[in-house]
Amino acid sequence: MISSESLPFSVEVLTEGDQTRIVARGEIDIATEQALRDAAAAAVASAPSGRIVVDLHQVSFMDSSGLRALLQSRDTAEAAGTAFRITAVPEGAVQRLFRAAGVADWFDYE
Amino acid sequence: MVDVESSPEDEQNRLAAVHRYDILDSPPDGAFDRVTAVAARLFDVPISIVSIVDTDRIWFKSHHGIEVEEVGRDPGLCASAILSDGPWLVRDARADPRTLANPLVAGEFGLRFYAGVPLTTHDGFNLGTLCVIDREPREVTEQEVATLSDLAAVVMDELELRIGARRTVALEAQLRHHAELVAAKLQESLIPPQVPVVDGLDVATRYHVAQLDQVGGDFFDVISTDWGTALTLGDACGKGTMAAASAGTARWALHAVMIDEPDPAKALERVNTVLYRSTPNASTYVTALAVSLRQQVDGLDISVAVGGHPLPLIVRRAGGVESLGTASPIVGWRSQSTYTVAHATLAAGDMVVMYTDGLLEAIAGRGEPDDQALRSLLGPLAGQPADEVAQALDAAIGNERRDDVAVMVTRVL
Repeated sequence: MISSESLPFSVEVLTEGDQTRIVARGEIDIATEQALRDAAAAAVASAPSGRIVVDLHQVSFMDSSGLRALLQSRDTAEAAGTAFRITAVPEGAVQRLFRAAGVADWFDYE
Repeated sequence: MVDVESSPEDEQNRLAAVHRYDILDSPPDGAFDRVTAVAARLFDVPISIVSIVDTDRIWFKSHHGIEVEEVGRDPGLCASAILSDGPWLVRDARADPRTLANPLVAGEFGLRFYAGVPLTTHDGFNLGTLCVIDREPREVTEQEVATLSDLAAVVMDELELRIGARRTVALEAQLRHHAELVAAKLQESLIPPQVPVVDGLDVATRYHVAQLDQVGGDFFDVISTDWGTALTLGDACGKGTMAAASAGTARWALHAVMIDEPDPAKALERVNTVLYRSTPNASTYVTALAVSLRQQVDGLDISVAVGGHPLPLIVRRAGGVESLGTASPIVGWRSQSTYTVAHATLAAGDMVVMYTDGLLEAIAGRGEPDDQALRSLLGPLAGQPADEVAQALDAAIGNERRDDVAVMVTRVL
């Protein structure tokens, strides 16, 4: 068992040209997922023809609500014509969720 | 006494107001004691009282300078004071025709000076008074009366605050109770009230909700059919009534389909479409296991289809824990999804453990990368009755949970 530290959740938005990088940290669950969706929606609204990358490297846990937020963000982006990618999923709980949920090939990766 | 008499009806309404404030015989309270202390000091008199006039007594919410909790209503001057709309002043009680025969005045107590201001509710009822008392006659200025009236208003504010706080607490308790009832009612659509007895199977289930006033989003079912037995178990994304609605839809859609569809992959594919259509904005999904158990010549065939859910574990009676199934997508997010069936054969004593994600989180914490901790727990329980296995899991789960937990243990008899 890998024991991961329970980082406080945060979302940092880094803009470089037409690319928005959303760096998520800590646990994305029902209590925190809204911030991720909001950040993605804001990025889509400000640059519909741009690109969004969600950086998951420092995410220690994700539950089904977190995955839903990620899927909704991707759907919102695609509907607006915004390219949406995620970084490789970190090992541990997040990878377990992606494996179990059978959604690994629903995403484009950076 | 030359008091104005109040009508019995007015008095009934006034007493109703007194009871509404629910203050009679309440414990001492510093806020009121500070007011009487200040009143006594400002007037430079020994005694100050916050009184509430009850049916047949005058009860003292606060009594500064006198060790008496209540007096009878008849001799009490406060009973007279509440009949007036403004301050009730007696400068020298022995010389005042309203009070000279009063036993508190003529008797041992020797009351000479009384100034009382009624405690008037916002709807006009006088509950009692704030009064100051002396054993010497005394003059009283307009300014002093104004001060006493202000202090009486402070007492009234305190009483209003308390009634408001009590109402809020009562309302919250009522809301919580209602939420628990709704949660319990919704829950009934998510799991069978009793797991049906199925020939040849020993089934134990558990359903732990993270919060009592919140309905869970997990579901399970045991379905007896003409072709054999179907087991389903799943978890709707999110929490609360929205999750429960999805979970209920998923459970009953699976139930309806599997009555005459023994292929669990086909069942999941159909339910995937049903759920997708039931949430047109693709706003949610469920994860689910669909399991078919059919008697074959060489034992009980178990067929499993997995919709984005942790794989079920098979605990062999002879020892060994293996997972069964092929990870396939979550159910209800896309209009079409494809699922595959994995098969195994179960012998007597073999056990299938189906569970929701919350179990892993509860047993091993949020960092758990796989189901290893659960496998280690189940290994030594091989061949045990289903309920004993469920009890062992209960013990491992403990009482601290962030997520709901559903577990179904099915042992072949």
